[in-house]
Amino acid sequence: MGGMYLSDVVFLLGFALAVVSLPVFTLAAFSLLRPRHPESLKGEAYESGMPQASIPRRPFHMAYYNFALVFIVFEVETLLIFAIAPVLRDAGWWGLGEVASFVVMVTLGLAYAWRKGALVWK
Amino acid sequence: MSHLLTFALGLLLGAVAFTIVGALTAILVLTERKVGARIQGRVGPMHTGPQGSLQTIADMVKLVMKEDVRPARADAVAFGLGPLLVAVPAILSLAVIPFGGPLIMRDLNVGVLYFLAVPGVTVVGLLLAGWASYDNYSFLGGLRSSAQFISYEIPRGLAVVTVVMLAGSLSTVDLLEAQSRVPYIVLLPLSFLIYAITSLAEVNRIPFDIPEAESELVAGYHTEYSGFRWALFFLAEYAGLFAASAFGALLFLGGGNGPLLPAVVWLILKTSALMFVGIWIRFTLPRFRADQLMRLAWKFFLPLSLANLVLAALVMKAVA
Amino acid sequence: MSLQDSLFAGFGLIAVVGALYAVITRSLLRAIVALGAFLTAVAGEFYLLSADFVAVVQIFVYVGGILVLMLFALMLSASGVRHPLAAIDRPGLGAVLAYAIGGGLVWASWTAGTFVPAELPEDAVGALGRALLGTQLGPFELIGVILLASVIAALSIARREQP
Repeated sequence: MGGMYLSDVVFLLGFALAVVSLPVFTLAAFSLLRPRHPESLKGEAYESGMPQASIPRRPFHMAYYNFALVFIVFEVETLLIFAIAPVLRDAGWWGLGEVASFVVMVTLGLAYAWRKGALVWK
Repeated sequence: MSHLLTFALGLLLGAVAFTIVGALTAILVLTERKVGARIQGRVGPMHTGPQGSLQTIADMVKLVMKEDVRPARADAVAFGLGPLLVAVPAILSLAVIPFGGPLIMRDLNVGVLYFLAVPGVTVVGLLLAGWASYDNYSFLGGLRSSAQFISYEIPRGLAVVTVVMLAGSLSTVDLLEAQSRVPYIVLLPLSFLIYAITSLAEVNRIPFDIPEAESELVAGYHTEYSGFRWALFFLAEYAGLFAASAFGALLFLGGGNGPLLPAVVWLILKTSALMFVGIWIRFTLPRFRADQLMRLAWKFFLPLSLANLVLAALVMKAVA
Repeated sequence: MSLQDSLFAGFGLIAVVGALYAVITRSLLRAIVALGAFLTAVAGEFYLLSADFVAVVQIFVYVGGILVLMLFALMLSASGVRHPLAAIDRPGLGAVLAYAIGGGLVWASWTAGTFVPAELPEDAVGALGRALLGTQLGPFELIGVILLASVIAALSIARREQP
């Protein structure tokens, strides 16, 4: 059994090596053929032709963070459902009831976030 | 099989996957422009090659030869890492799709989860690219597209889990065998709809292409990219469309199963049909607003996919 | 040294270098990227130890979730931008804590003996699911309650700041 996992890793390492090195190689190889005319204006950020009005690295509104927090909780819940999904066929009605109570708790979490207005995009 | 051979096979198939995605991008861009032109009553590209058929080849040559411009205040490391982290996971996810024939990739025990997990790394690349560029449009585009990506990931996962429930396995090859008689679109039509629509959002295509909304964000997270680095974002978009369509064909349409023709041909036919629908939608629907997009994900698709779990459990009991 | 061991050592090296870089660097962004390398290497370790489900979950939750959350926190607060990360307030206490935890971990792994991948059932993923529905049912349902509590907690913390 252990051997199968080892060869999975070996295969994926080979696959990843090819997929990473090909674009890197292409980028490096064509740098010999590409023009290079650095100019100070090219280094400016694009803002529809105007000088940059404000710096982008400043505090920004937190709605994104709320969504990311709720996302992680639901992601873990999805993965737990994935863990039991393959055996659910053989679990009988009792097993289904157990999973249903889990899904109900997930839904309660969603309902809470909804009520509290965390899912409103401003 | 010796490990050296496995490694060499991995290298070879990785190179093949990258090449196929490159060629496919050329074909898809041309198809998209031609189909779009037809839908909108135009002719599309006409000048390079017969009927404009060599247009994207010329574009690709031009892209690799373009100057590689980096904004002066950009963070060099993150600026370089961003496009790679967007493109590489999209192609890596192809490693578990059983194409049949000589292109059987790798049958992992957890192949389905692998396919959902690996493209998730893309979000890190989007955020890095948007942040590193030091540009307001890029910054907003990176934030918006990653918020969209994570929001649609959950309903999408919950739609895929129903297929796993019926098939009783997380291996992509087992899924294929489980559908030898009936493809799952017949048993789980709602799961298929949720999967198809949320997948469009995951690969940032219209009507979900808010991060690239030209009228407000110029080009979103890749505003400051040029030449080959920009091409990598483009490659990632089409690799994502291809991977999501192939996976959808595998999950719901019975993958390579079909009479007469070899498995590879069936899978390509089904995948192309799904990709065509994606292109068709692009020229038919308008773009959502950012708040509509998030509301749709959390207040429509998430409750719907939770209800769909119950429905799928009943279907599972009825089939068994 | 077998291939299994050398790959395990290789992933371990990446993990250690990533973790060290994340601690040493003054740029918060680079610390997060290094943490990403560390988390991916740990996923590789899990897979080598035949825990494929855990490995994929590691990528899914930590790289695709927690790391994104950290990047959001960095970008929304714009912290560490105008001035690089400052030294911590009480370096003495931090050093004592770090050495104590680090030393404990080294001691624990030193005395644990050699690693042998666990003997696995034929259908490991199925066994995990059956365990969650059978002997581990209590913890499984408890996780549901904890996750519900964490939604409530996370939202009340995150929203307190706002008017």
